[in-house]
Amino acid sequence: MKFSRRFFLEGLFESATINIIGLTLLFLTPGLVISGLIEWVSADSHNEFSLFATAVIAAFLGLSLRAVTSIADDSMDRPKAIFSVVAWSWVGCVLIGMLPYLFSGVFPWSRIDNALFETIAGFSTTGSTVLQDIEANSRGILFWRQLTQWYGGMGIIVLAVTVLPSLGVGGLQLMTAESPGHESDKLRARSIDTAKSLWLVYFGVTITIALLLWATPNVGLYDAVAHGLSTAAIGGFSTKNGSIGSFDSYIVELIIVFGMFVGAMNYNLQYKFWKSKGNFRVFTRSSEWKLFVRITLSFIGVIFLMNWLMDSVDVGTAFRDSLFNVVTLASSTGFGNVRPDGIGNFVLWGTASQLLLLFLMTVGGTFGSTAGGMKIFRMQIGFKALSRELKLIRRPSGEYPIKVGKEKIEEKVVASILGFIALFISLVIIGTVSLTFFFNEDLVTALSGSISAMSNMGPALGEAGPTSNFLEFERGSRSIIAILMIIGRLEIYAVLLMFLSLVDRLKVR
Amino acid sequence: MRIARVKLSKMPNLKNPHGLGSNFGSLVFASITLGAVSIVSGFAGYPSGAGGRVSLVLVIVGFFLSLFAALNFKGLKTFELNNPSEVFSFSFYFFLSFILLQSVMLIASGVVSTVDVAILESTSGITTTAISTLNPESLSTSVNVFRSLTQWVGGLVALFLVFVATPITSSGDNPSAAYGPKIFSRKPVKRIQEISILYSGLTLCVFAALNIAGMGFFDSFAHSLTASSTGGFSTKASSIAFFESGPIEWVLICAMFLGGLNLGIIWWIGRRKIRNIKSNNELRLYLLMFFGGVVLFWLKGDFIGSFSYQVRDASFKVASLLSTTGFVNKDWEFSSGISAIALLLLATGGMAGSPGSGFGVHRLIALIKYLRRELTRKYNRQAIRKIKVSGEVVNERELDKLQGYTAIFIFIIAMGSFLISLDNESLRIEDSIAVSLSAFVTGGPPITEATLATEYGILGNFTLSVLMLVGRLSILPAAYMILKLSQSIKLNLRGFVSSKRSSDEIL
Repeated sequence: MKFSRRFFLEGLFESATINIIGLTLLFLTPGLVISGLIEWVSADSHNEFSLFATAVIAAFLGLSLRAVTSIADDSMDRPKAIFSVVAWSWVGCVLIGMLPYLFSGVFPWSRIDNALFETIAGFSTTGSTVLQDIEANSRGILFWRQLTQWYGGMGIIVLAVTVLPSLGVGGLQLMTAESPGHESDKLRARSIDTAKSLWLVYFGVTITIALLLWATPNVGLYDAVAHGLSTAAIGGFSTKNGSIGSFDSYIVELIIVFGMFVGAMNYNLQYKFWKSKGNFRVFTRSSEWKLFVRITLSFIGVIFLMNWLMDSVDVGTAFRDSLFNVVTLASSTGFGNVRPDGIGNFVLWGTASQLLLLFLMTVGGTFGSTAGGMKIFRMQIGFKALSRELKLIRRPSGEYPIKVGKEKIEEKVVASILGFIALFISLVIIGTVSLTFFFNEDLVTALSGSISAMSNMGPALGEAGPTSNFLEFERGSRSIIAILMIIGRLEIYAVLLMFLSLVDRLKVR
Repeated sequence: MRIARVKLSKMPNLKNPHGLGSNFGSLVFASITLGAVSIVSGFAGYPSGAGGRVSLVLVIVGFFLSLFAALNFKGLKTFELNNPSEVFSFSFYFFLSFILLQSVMLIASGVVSTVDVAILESTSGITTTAISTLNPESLSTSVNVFRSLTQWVGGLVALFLVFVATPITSSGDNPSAAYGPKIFSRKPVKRIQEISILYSGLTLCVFAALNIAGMGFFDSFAHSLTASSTGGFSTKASSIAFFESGPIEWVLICAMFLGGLNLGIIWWIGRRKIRNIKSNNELRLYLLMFFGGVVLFWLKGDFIGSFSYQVRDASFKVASLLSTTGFVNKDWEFSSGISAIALLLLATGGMAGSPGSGFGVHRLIALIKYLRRELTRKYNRQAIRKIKVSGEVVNERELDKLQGYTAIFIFIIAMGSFLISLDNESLRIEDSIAVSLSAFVTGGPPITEATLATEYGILGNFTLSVLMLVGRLSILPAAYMILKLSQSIKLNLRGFVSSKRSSDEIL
């Protein structure tokens, strides 16, 4: 009696990591069921078994893990435990998330690495794919693919609210740092309530994009919802082979541009905007938001001029392609707008334009959004630290605190952010060297592929352009890219520290 | 704040009643250096038929520059460099004056016809970069000697910057700054003499070795000057590939390897302070990068020829890249498998205290240790860890500077590649990055043969010149001068606006 009570109510073991893995698996179940239902009602194919079976596995595993474990009150106080929870939950989601691909035969079991790559790209909201003919796949499977990105976006919000504050490299304290009176103005007192509020905004953004797309004559309900999911998540997966270019519609591209832009905006600000009943000053007060807008607009302007004047493209096409591709790369989404006639492929642009795009790939959106990359806030701090260095050359004894808006940023946080930037660059270099040395990838493909993976973008330059497929890379190259995607998505530290923690445990044993 | 000073008033004939500052001093020093180089080069080629006019121009201009320098040199009452800003403006103006004066000379002598190419050639010389649009085989002897000598002087100035100027700018709290007084004499003037003797001795050794290896007197002379300074200019259009000689390549591998080494290490070897060398982890990393690089290049090579040829080929390429010299041997084409490593070696450059440029091995160590500490801090918040490079604790201020330096380093290369690609649309992305990096680290040949023969327009030549200058000055002096200039423009504009307002009010 005592044993069964302990087993069902308190759990046999105390393990926050296993318990939360169980919870995240339970979260996946509704998505799998919805995808299964879509597959079931679809007239074209019937792979619903694979989705329902995975849903049952996820639910069973989720409930079992929850049942046999419990979370001690103080178990989440240590950073180690938080990293462990986040990283292992991600691993759990990926392992379950790839099962529909394998069960339905989209990838044979002998190509389990491809299924893993596609799922990692999904949950990390990276637009890279190894599916050769996307449209040949069944609707339910493709919907699940889109949903993995949407779940990934939800996970990032949790990451920003719970994990990053403990690292001092982001999270809520920085998301609210610029807002006036932020101490008393935190969204909600508890992290989980905050996450719920932000999820609500996320859900609202998804619905809005889907409805806008559905309102256009070119997009049906299924495609509208599918693209709504991946746009809000800043993912980049599409149900079409030619991505957004398949619709060949200016209005669809404009809606997606709007969606990507909103998705790359701080969800905290969006929540405040919604609570203040549309007070736009919520955004204009944020220096990070203003900088994001400035960077995006200036890049659109410069690339438009370069494409128009140097590449002899007509004004309309130059503007359309510059607008779409700058926003998709600045927000780290990774959609492509290559039309059926081949126009819109940025890999064919001039070298100078491509170099600007390479820089843009590292930017990412703003803090507290679902975008990847270094993030505007970190770049802002980086540039301010740089300018302080220059001032200190003139006056070595001067005091120059770094401020964002009116808030003074602690030196500890500045050091953390500079460390993050240095780590980001180091990992890109390691990725590039590995891809070139071990797999003979050309330098541009390797460099841009590494940046793209670290920023959770998707397409890159060279042979990894918007019309390319990652199947063209060798198996080993894909593994490196997949690892970079996970590291980039979990903001570097969580993954590296998870490995350090493992090494530590092994050392102790 | 007086941290250290270089008091040149103790040297003969260094008195100036007007007490002119470091900016004018830099012009005087540039004039006397360039004057001496011109006279020596002019006489070296005189009276060879085709180069007669050039030699004459070099001798005459050199004479007038020396005269100008001698007149003002005498007038300098005291010349002191007491704080970082003085050192920065002195070094910046010295290079700028040297480049401008040399450009005028090159145009006057008819070696080049356009201003941008003249500036590119002049900057390439004094910054010890092997980027050139000239075919050395079509140039007269005096011009080739002139080019080699400017690189040699550039190497010497680079050493003075590290061993004499850096201790002033860094107040002795960074490891490279400590090199100066800790290795050589504490007195700056004596230190300058020691460094000059050591550098000249090294050049003489390379000259003798090249002669013995069969290079010929004139070529040995020119190549010894550019090898010991990690310059990379050659008297042949195809650089070292022309000689197709194993012994010559081995001599140059050793010369370039030593060129990338901290001069202090050679000084310590001479004074048998082996313990100091053993504890130097910057040297360990340099050796690791060199030998590791050779192994990787060999592994990725095409395995043509004998084993000794393959090793020599790999060693030559690694030495040329790591020391940022820029000599080119046969088949200077890097496969995609090795291109990233080649660029990494080039970007890293030699040790602090060498005439080579680049990010620097000492900075790389500090950066790696900093990143490791950041990770440890996230893992264990109570962890307190000091960062040491070669036994010296690097203080937090220097670490902040290092972060700033790294960011500017990457930013400048990115900007440079963008501007170069704007100038030459036929360049591929990897080529524009490689050219920009190569110019910035004062290396020379990029990683593809195609880019070796590329010619640039005005924007390209100007960008390359700026990159070389900023890279040679290790960013900070150039950044300081730009900041100073922008501030003075801002103040002038403000003054202009306020005076305009007040005059409007009066009206």
